[in-house]
Amino acid sequence: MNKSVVFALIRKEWQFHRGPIAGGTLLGALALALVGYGSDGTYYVGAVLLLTAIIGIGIYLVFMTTIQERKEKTLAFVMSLPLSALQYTRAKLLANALFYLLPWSLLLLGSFAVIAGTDFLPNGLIPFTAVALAELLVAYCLLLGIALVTESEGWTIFVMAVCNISLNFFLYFIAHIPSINATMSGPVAVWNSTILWILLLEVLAAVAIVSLTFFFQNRKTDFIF
Amino acid sequence: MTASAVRFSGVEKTYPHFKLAGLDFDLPQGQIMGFIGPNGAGKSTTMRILMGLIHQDRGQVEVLGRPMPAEQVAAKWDIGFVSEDMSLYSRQTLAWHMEFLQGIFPAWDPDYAQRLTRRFGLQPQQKIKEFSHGQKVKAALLLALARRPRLLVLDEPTTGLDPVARHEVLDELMEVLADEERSIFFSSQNTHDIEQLSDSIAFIDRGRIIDLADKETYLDRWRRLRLEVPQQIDLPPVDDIVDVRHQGRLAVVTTDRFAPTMANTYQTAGATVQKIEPMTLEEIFVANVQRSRGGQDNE
Repeated sequence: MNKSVVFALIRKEWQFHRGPIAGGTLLGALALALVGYGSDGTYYVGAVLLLTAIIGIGIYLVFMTTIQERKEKTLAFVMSLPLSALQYTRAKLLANALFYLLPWSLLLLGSFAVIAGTDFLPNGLIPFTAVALAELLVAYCLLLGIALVTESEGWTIFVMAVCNISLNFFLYFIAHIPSINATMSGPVAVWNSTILWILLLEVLAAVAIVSLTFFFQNRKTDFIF
Repeated sequence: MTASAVRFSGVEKTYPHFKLAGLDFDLPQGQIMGFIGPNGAGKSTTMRILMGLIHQDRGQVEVLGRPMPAEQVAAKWDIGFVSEDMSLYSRQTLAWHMEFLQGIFPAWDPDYAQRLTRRFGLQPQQKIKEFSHGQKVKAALLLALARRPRLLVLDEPTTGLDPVARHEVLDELMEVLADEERSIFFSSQNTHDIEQLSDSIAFIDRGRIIDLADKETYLDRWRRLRLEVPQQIDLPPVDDIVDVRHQGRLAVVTTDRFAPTMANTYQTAGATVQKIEPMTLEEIFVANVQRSRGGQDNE
C-alpha cells in the first residue's frame, strides 16, 4: 500500500517539473548543435552551454523538489500522508535520480554522437567527456544529499558553489593526466585503465553519497518543517 | 472501557532551550480534546510527536492503538492532519489536490469532498495561490476530512480566520462529531473555539500540562469571589485558592475548587461576599498559567 504513496509523490514531481526538465534538455541539445557546428568559437560556447544546461537541471531539481518544499511549507502536507521520513527520502531520491538521469543520459549519448559524427572533433574526446559528465552526476548527488540531510538552503548553496568551482579544477586536473592527455586529441576513443579507474571512482562516490544520505536520514529523530 | 485514540505516557522531549516534560494524557475515541497554550508552550511539538514527525526522548505515544513513531505510517492512513504551518501547492488547483489524495487514500469520499467544496464556497478549478487565507484553511480541512480519518489532528486551524470563516470551520467540525467513532485533537490559542468544540481541555505552558479536565468540570469548579473586607479583618486561609488580589476594602479571590462552604468561611471571618462569578474558559486559562508560572518562578 505504501509503495503507492512513494509512486504518487514521484508522479507529482514529474507533473510539476517535466516542463523545465524538457527545457533544460532542449538547451543541452542546442549546446550540442553548437559543439558540432565546426568552429572553435561555437565549440567553446556549446561546451560551456552544455555544462550549464546539465548543472542547471540539477540545481533546479534539488531546489524545487527539496528546498522549495520546505520554504513554501508544503512539506507538512506531504508528511501528513502515510509516509515515514525514510520513505520521503526514498521518493525524493528516486524522483531526482529519474528526472536527472534522463536528460543527463540523453545529453551524454548526444555528446558521444556529436563527437563521433563530426570530423572537426577528435574521437579521443569521448572518454574525457564521459569523465566530465560523470563528475556532474556526482556533484548532483552530493548537492541532493546535502539538501535532504541538512534541510538548509544556505548549506545547499554553499555546496553548489564549491561543486561548480571545483569542476574547473577537476577538468584541468583530468586533462593534464599524461595517459589521458596523450589520447584526447587522437582519432580513436581510448578507454585506458586511468579513464576506467576514474569512472569507477565516480560511480562509487555517487553510490557512497546516496548511501550516506539514507544513513543520515534514517538516524534523524526530528522532522521539523 | 473506551479505547484510546491518543495516549501519551510520560512523554519527554528536550531541546537546548525548551523541554516538553512528562506529558500524560488520554483522548478516548469519539471525543474532542482541546489543547490550549500560549506561543511556544509546546503545542506544535506535541502535535508533531503525535504524528511521528518528532521522536520523543522518553515515554510512550500510542495513536489509534499504534505505537509512535514506530508505526507512524500505518497510523497515518487513519489520521487527517491540518496545521497552520501547512501549505498546499500554490500553483495547483484544489481539484488537483483532491485528485492527488484520491489516488492515495482508498477511503477518500468524492461525494463528501464535493459537498464540502460547496459548503465552504470553494472553486475546485481555482489555483491555491488565488485563495484567501480562510479559503486555504478550508481547503486543507476539506482535504483532511474527505479522507474519512478516524482521528483529526488540527494544529491551530482557526488562526488568522475572519469570524465568518471561523464559524464555518467550527460548524463543519461539529458536524464531523456526529460520527461518534471519530476523534479530534485540536490545538488553539483561541479559548472560544476550544470551549465550543471540546469535551476535554488540556492547558499547556512551558512544555508542561498544567491542567486537564472536562470542559464542564472547569466551568463548574472555577469561581471568582468578590469580597468586601473590613480593615481590621484578615482573610482566613482557605484551601484551593488560586489567587487573591486586594484593592482597598475589596478583595477578589479566585478558586479552582469552589464549594459553598468557602463563602461561609469568609462571611464567618467578617467579610461580605458581594458576588460569586463563574469564569470564562479564557479567564480560567489565564489564571491557570499565572498560577503555574508563579509556582515555577518560586521553585
